[in-house]
Amino acid sequence: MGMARMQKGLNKKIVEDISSQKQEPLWMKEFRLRSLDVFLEKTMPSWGADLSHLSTDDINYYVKPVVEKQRDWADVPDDIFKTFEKLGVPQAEKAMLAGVTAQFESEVVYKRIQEYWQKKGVVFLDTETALKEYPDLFKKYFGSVIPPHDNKFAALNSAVWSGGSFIYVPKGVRVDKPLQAYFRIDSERMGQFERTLIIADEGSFLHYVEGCSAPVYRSSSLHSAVVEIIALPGSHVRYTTIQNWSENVYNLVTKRAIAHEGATVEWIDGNFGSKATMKYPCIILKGEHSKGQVVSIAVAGKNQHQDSGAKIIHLANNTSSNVIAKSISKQGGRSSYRGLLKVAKNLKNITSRVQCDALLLDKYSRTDTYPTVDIASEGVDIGHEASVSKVSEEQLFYLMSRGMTEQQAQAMIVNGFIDCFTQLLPMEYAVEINRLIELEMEDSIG
Amino acid sequence: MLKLSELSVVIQDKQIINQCSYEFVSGKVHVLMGPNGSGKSSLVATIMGHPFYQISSGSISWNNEEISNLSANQRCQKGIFLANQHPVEIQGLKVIHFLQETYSKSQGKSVSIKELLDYLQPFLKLVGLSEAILERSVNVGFSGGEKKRFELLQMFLINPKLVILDELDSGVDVDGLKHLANGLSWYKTNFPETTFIMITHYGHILKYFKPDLVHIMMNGQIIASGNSSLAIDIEENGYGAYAKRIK
Repeated sequence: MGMARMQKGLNKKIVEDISSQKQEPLWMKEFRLRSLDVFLEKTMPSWGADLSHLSTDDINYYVKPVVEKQRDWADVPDDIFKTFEKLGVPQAEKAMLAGVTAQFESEVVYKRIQEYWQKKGVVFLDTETALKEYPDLFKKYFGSVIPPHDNKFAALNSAVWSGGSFIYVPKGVRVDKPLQAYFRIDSERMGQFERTLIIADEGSFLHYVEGCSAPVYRSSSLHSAVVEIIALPGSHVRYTTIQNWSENVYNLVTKRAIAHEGATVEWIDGNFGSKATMKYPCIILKGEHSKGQVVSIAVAGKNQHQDSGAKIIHLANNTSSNVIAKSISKQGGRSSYRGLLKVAKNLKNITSRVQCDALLLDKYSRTDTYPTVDIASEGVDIGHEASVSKVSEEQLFYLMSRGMTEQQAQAMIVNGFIDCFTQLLPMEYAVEINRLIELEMEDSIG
Repeated sequence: MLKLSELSVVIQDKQIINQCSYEFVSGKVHVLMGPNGSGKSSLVATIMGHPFYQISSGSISWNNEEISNLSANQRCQKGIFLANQHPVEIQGLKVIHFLQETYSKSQGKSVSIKELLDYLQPFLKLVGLSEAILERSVNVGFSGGEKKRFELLQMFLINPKLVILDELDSGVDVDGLKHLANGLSWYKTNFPETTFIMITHYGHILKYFKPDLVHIMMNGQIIASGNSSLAIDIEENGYGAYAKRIK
């Protein structure tokens, strides 16, 4: 497939070109250019994963596939179709998809939403199209949760974003099947900067699922997404991510949600692969009686650092939060939990539970916990538990004495360890995760 | 036939099985008795292939095949089964999935949940477990009795030829004991060629499940064997007389 590539590196010209190719309104072009300045001003974060080998000058910031957007699988070019087939997209769609936005490289090439949801007013579009078709709604919320100056990589994404999903669920509408999108990077040294914006109107419900998988390729690649969720009063949004990046990808993602009165937001986040991941899904509990939950797993293998966690900010009375973070480190891999729990002044009836469990598969691997707790109110009910465990010889022996190989036994124990995560996934993803764990165990037992 | 030849086992440089030799006759119910620390549990864990127990010399052969270099799963495939004294908990691993894998392994093919349930249901009833247990995590939060019944349940899925029971009766009430004995009797009736090795501290279960041979273990060796009257003798007089004999 032909690719219209831009030159490597980042400057004003490239950002302007991206904007004009997308035929964007002036405000977006200016937003991008402001963001570029912020990106260039900010220094690389030095407190998390080692980013010293990441050269942001060595990346293509925009790759436009030379195919038009497709409406039907039959029209998708063969090579792209094969890629999706490997990822199981068509099967998944048959099974239970309410809509698919499949992102190939930087541009959405396939998009479909079932008529049923369209009739109810649910908008599920790629982000560029949404900017054209819903300009007012878009402008009202875009960048309102994560401004460009939030961090260097949010600024980068704001300058060069391309692709991603835009979802609007109208008042009182419950999308009872998960909406799904598949992403992948397939071009060497190509960054992927998708931008996702979800607006759940009052009393609505939505479960959005994104799955990532990437083939192995040669030099370092950068994935830096921004996801913003606005959960309006009484709404409920669950956002599930499964990412399995190839081992040279820097995965630096900013995810944040605002929960208004009585709203519930859940980040369900599974991190496999990558060279380094820095990702701390955040929930701002802005309205009274709002709830936030983050359930995550991270698997760190050889030469990998999963620096992940959760940020919860309580800004209103009667709010509650729950964080469950599970990590698995193997073959010298490193996983870190980095969490923030903040409670603003003069609040009452706040509850929060944080539980971090780390599983080490060998003595060469590493796990750390970096919790930050900042409580400015009294009478806050906070629980924080952390545990580190090893796969015990007793457990392995027990399963092996029932006929399992060592590898199977280890996979069963690890799958058990992350069961509280898997339970929250749609069935097909749960199966996929169990299979991924089995594959990971194949590598870890010599 | 299970044959131990001059078997010595060390654990962290401490010798716990001491040149133990014995041939367990096939198709018989063997009872292994002995004071605490005499090496009974270590011996059966070694037979099952627990990596913690290092064989320093000697051999274990099963049906004329040396098995001491086989892993636990290979020994399972050879028809050896151990019901553990303290079954380990595995958080998050659902019983139904564990049993599905176990049964698939013993059948040599992938078994569906329905096939598993069809096969399993009469055995659940036999050992006195309800179907609710299938949704729980393996051994997590099980009562002492449930753990032992669950150990025995696995025997029916694996269909072993050598059944080793490490204190199956400890921590079990009378009703539980009857369920366990019923399960064992059913298995022995249907598979009469099965060899049983039972470790027990109490004679009680032997009232329900009759032994053919009783062995006394002390200091990492089998020092005496006899018929069931030996168990009665031990229960009445203790191990003192035998302790003197080895000195």
